[in-house]
Amino acid sequence: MNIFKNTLNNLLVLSRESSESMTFNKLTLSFTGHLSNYESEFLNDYYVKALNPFRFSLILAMIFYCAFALLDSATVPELKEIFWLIRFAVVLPVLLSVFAFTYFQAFRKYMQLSITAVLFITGFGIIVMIILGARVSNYSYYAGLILIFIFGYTFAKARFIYASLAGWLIVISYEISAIWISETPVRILINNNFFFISSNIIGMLAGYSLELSSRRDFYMRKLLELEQDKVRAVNSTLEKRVIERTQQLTDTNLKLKKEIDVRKRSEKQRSELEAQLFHLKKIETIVTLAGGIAHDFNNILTPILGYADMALEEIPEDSTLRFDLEQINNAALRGKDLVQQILTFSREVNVEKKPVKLDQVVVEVVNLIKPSLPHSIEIKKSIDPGIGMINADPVHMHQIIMNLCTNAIHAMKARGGILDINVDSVLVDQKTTKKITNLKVGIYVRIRLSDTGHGMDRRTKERIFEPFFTSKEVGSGTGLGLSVVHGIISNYNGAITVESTPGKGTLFTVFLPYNTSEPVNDIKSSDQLPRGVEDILFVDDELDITFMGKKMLENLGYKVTTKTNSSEAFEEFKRNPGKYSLLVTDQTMPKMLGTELAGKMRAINPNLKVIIITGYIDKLSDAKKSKSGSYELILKPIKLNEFSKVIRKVLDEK
Amino acid sequence: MAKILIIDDDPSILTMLKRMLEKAGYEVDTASNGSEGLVRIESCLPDLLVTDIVMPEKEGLELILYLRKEKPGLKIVAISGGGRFNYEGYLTGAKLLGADLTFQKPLVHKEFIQAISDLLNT
Repeated sequence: MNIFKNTLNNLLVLSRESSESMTFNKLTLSFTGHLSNYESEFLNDYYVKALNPFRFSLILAMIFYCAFALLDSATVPELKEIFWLIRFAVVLPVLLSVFAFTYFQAFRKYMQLSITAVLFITGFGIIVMIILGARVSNYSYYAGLILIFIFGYTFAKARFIYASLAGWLIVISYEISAIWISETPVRILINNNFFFISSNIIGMLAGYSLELSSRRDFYMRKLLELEQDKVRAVNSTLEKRVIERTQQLTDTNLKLKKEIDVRKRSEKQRSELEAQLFHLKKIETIVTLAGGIAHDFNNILTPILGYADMALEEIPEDSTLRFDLEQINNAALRGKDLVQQILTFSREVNVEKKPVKLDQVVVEVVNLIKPSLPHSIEIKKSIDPGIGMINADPVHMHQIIMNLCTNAIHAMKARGGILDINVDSVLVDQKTTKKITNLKVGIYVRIRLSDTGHGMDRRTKERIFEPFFTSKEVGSGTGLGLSVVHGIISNYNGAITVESTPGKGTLFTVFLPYNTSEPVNDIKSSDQLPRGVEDILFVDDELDITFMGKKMLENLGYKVTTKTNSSEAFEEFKRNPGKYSLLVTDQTMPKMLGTELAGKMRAINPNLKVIIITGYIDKLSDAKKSKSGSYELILKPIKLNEFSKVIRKVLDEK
Repeated sequence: MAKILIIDDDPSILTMLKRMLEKAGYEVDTASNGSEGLVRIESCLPDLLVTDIVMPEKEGLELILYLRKEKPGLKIVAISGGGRFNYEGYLTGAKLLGADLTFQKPLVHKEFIQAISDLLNT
């Protein structure tokens, strides 16, 4: 018995050590304390796991129970009929019906009781056989009970408490029957009891440890699940964070890329502006210097010219000195002209501004240079009739055009070519003012003068507006020409740009501010510009452009409402959908493209006419293909003449 | 014979103009700055004054302004090679302050003599 106690203790110690926090009732083994919630789950789990082993053990039990019929006929042939009756007519049907019962839902509830019943009934059958066997001095059938204990405590999957119940019921039944019913000899009774009770106790221990270990398994599994849940939770949090962080990183990356792009662009713009500024500074310095030199130079030239003149008057006509004096005089006069040019370039000449129409100037210049032109050079000129006046000194305008023409002709001297003079008016917007330093947003008269001559390289191009810089051979020019042109144009708050490809030709573009003091009258007086009275909605995100647009269109007689924001424009349109005959909108605006805005408005009023203004050719074709309908397109910079014609054309379309 | 006073700080110009005008038959006196010029005007009483603008001591514009008040009958011709920073401003200023004629240096001989003679005959 000591051995058993020790084993039990060891087991308990073991269980306590291995699962210290596993709390359970030491007798029933039910979970207690913080684990009591798990009891029903454990039972359920136990049931699921025990069901098939139990069925299997039932079948095995039936086979064994039937097989022992052979033992009956061998050891107690005189009683075999009645034994067989017990086996086949009582116990077997009970086992079969329990087997059938396992397939019912209710079995879940009564499983342990059923197992107890099965154990007790099979045991009781054997006890009846022992009682009957005692009559023919057969006491050996008690061994069958040991088999039942083995079954009951192990294979049958009875819980410890139920198996013990069945076990002790059988033991008690045997004692009762052996002592009082069959009067078993004391020797045999003691012998049998020894084996019998010992095997029951061993069985109990086995059952106890089996259930305990399956409970521990369950508990461990639970712990594991809990841990797994924790890990899973941590994992998913981690994953979530990884996704979030990745998203953040991607966003930041995108932002960074955008920022870098913007930076790069503004950096480029800045360096371009800096270069332009540096260039202007350089010219400014030279101008100051030139002004000073001019003063002294004039004083120096005065006596030279004066004495030469006086000497020329006094010497006889046939004197050999006369030629020499004339040379002095001519040289001094050339010096005088040169100073004059320097001063023009240094913007310090008095300017008499009056309204000038450039087409007349161009015609005059062309007429002037045509006679001396080689046949290989052709002059083309196209002048927009709608260009209006500019406020300037006509002599200066003459000088500019003459100078540019002379340069162009010079460039084409060797191979011939075409000199193309094009004059029109344009609306300069912020994009252009960003590229060309001197310009402000507004209407300008634009002169484009292109040749197909030898062109120039980048280095030459950068320096052509500097005074005394010349690419012509010595003696061909003073190198002041283009710097004078530059000086005059700057003086009028205009700008000049140059594009050139070596071997292909050069294009000079001159911007001169439109005579803003009286532009209205000019446009009005111009009969060529078509007019109208319709209501026009004008949308552009640049305030200056809407301002100029309104002025321009109102001068043509239209009623104009302007908006600098696409959503505001749309709100305005929704309020008065029938009011407007025409929408004029910029294509590239924040929030909504011009075509999108037009599409939304057309959905309300399908008859709305639309003109899209765009600065890019490639976007132009995109806009043309737009799903929301066909729109008239105008390319920036806006030319007044073209614009007024397109408006009239669109409005008159059916 | 008309008397002419020339004021210029550049001696070579002064000498040249003196000869030029003497050859044209005028009696000529000279001064090399405005203050000196004022003293001469009192002593020699000229009919006409030819004065430079940019000079030390007393410059031309100041001189013209003063003389226009004090000597309304004196005819004044301003000549200038241009300002160091404002080229034609001086001559325009001289005209505004009361100079009868203005000439840009270098002078064209015949034009200058003709203009002086016309001015003296009016």
